[in-house]
Amino acid sequence: MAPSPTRISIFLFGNEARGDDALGEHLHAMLQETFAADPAAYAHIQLILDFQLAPEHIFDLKSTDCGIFVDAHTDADSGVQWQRVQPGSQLHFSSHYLPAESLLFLYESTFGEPPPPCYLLSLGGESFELEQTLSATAQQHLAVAFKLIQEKLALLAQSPDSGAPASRIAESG
Amino acid sequence: MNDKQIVIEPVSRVEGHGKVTLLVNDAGVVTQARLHIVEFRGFEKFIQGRPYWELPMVVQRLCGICPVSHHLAAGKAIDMIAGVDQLSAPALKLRRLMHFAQVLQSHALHFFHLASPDMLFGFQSPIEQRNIVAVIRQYPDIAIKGVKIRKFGQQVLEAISGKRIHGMAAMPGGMNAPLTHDKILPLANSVADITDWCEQTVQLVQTLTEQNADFHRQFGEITSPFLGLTGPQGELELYDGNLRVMTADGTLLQDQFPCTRYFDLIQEQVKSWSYMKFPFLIQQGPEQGWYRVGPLARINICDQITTPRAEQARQVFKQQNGTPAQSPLLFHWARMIEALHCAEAIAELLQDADILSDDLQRSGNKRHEGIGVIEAPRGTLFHHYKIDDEDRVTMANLIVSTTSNNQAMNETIRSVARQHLDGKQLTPELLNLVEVAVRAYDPCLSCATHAVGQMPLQLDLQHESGALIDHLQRNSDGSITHAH
Repeated sequence: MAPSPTRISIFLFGNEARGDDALGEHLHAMLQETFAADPAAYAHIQLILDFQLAPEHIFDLKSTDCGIFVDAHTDADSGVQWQRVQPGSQLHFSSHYLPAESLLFLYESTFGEPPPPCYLLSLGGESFELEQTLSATAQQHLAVAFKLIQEKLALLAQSPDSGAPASRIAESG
Repeated sequence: MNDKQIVIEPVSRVEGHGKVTLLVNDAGVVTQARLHIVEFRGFEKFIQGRPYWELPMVVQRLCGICPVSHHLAAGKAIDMIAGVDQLSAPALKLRRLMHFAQVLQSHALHFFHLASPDMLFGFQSPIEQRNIVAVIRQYPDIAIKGVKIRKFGQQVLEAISGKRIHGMAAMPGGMNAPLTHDKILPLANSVADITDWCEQTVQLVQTLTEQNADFHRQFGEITSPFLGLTGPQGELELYDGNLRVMTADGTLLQDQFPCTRYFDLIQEQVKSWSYMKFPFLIQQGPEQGWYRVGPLARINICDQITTPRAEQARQVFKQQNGTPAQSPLLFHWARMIEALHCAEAIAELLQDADILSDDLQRSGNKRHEGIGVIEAPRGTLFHHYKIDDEDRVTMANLIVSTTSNNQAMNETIRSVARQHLDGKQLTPELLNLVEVAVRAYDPCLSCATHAVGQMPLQLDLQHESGALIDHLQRNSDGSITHAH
């Protein structure tokens, strides 16, 4: 019997009304469309769209083998980055801001066990004002990220630890 | 007299890019505190030109933590535009259920993750100890209950609106869909635990407050009027009702003031140094008329709470703290009384057959103006729209609770700084106390922009000439950099 594919949760977050902050939402839409075309092939993947990370997301992570966090980055020059995320040693937290490292720390502290392997896919944006369009740079990064995450998903389906190494894929325009 | 400026930027554990400027005179006395907030400026313009029926969906994007409050305030406004003055009973109950869940999850998030470290370990305990990490280590039961209460609130919201975000719920004149038995069952099974935990937390806050009573009474001491909604019998009302104003000495200045005439009660003042406006009671003028909203205001002004356990807690609060209670730190106690009320109210509504009903829509004769006022977790929230004959928004005025508390936060910071600043040097202790003061109000500063790469914390001391006197920065790893 073939081994079960890795169960993967992808957390995508952002605000569609805040320019490039919506990169996570746009990638969500692209992945949703891809998955809908072949549901059986992607049955092991759960997409979670939210405005931002929050403490209760530890429960979404609990039942999976691997987590991927997708978010815009305020530094457009950072391009598209893929990196492993480890639990932080501090829980930096505001009611409106929770970084992935802190969520993993919360997971570890709450459940008394290490979180599953997790990765951060960050997409550089350059405009976070009130608008509903992506900048040209963000659109470029979105296309790169869509290709990259599909490659990573194929690797991760075999093993949740196979998502490394970290990479910086694209430079800003 | 030469004033020096002390700048704190941004405020940690408070969302967004906050900055605090303290103005001190030559004698080192704090003469003014200015909390600078990058608010949702521009949003009112952003929604102009859109069809009015889109409003409940669009305004959810104002804030990633309380999108439902904006959704429902806009929903009430478009009910008015749709000519519907009275929703069907099932629609009203579903909206109330949504709102209770929203307030519950927001209050849980604030108390367990932002306020509890200060209260459990003491406001003047070592900074490195006073954070949620330490709470998790020393009080894991409290921490996980906090997460579970918030999760429960989110589950109620998802059950009603269909999705975690971008769900459809409030529509002109009603609601989109009823609940179903299969969605209610898991919620009904867990609501008793949630209610018990909320009650235990109220008792915990009471105990912690009483253990450090002098500090709580004196910290950031200010006096102000309070504003909020109450029901027809003066009861605590989060979704509906009319406006009540209580003066600082407990006298009712206004009662059952119609929400649709809010502009006859309050006005907003603009100041050159802040993006945020400064609302004030017209009757008392811009200098004296600033007021407070939110949990402390609501518990102060109401005559009763309609759910028994929260009402009992309110009576204890009132006996201990008087009416109106003024200490900013009492926001925490009041907040958890409200959380208990929400849990009780959710339990009642989950047993109500109306929430399964399809009778969710009403219609009426269209109007060109709509006003929706609601008690959001952080306080009274006003949404006011005008539309043209093409159904497009021509005017939007939104007064969020953080704006109403603007001057009160400044006054509280000034009070704290007067107590703890020597006028010469910034200290991590002062920075933390300023944060404690701001945090009590749970301001919403960023409105849903959250991307990676934000939130260092820095504190600058400047002479009025602009020369930097002192600089303090909290780094992302929690360490402090101090440059003289």
